[in-house]
Amino acid sequence: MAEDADPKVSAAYRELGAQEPPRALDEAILAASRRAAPSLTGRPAKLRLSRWAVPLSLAAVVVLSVVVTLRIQHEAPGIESEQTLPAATSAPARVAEAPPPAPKAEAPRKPLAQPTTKAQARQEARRDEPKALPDAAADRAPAAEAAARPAPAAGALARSTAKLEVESPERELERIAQLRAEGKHDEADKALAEFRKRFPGFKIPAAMVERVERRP
Amino acid sequence: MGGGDEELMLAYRGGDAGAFEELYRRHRGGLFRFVTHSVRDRAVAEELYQEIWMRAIEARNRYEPQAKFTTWLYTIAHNRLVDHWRKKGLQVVALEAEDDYPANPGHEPQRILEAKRGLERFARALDALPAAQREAFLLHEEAGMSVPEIARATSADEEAAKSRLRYAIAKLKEALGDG
Repeated sequence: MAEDADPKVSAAYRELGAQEPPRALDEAILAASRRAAPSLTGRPAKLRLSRWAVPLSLAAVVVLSVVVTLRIQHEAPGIESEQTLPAATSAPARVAEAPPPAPKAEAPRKPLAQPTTKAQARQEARRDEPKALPDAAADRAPAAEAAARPAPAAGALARSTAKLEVESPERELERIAQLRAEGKHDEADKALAEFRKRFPGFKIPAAMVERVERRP
Repeated sequence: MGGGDEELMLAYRGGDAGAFEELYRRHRGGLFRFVTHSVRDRAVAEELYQEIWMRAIEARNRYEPQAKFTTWLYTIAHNRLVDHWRKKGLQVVALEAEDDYPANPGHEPQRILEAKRGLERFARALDALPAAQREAFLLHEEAGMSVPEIARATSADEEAAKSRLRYAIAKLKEALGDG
């Protein structure tokens, strides 16, 4: 390097000025880094999970038992009675009255260069990472994730803990874009407003703005 | 907080948010200037700058200290810039070319010669550099990278990286009237 270095060129470059990122950008990035840090190890979520696992399971069993018992009591006499028949026969009519499914023309439009699913977004993110670095950590990750994965019986509990994990702004935007693409505009508007409240300093990339904002 | 960049990144990978803040404080200025000098448009530069850090945050648990942190970070930056140029319709081959980068009317050599002041002339010369040469120069100045590190961050071979840096410095020296 010494043979290429030139102090005059370096000095002239330094004189061009020390541009720095705006404070709002700093804050948005640091806030994202703090949000991501606790979800990395998952420790806080797991602690809460283990403390509440037994009471929640018991509560779920009790609620399910009560609901099933009430339903059986309510439906048992009706099986043999004629009173339930009209309701049964009117079911198809209700189906016919139900709003038709969204026309296919309204189906999600897939922008050519944009990822449309979380999986694709993750794929794109990985592509931006240094390719020269070994993938040892990535190879180990699935095993660790499998070990940490809850048993199927604890599915409901796992879903509740999933909510505890902090979504990154980019993933949240991807979710909103998905809602928009599916034509769920009210839901998307609501989610976008919520997003702006949660991440006030976050600069939404222009390409993403087109995907998440309502088109006239 | 002390420690090397690699230690800080590992600490952040382990859940220490303060370690990232220190890393960010160390590299925010250099990375920002690297991006602003690369794309010129300030708004676009800010957007890309934020995306690069977000990518680094997302990739934290795949970080392995086999390479210097700066090489890792600037490789992410390089890939984002390549992506940006590709989306704008510029082929990656243009980035790789030594002298065939599409000329901007405001950056022609004649305009550089007409520049009145030395620093202004220098800034124009920097803007007029082919993208690959400018990138090599910025990686050297802002990230303090050696030729092998520049080669690694830009997925180029060392000879190409060395030649780009040498051409860039020669052109900038010329702009200073020192060539």
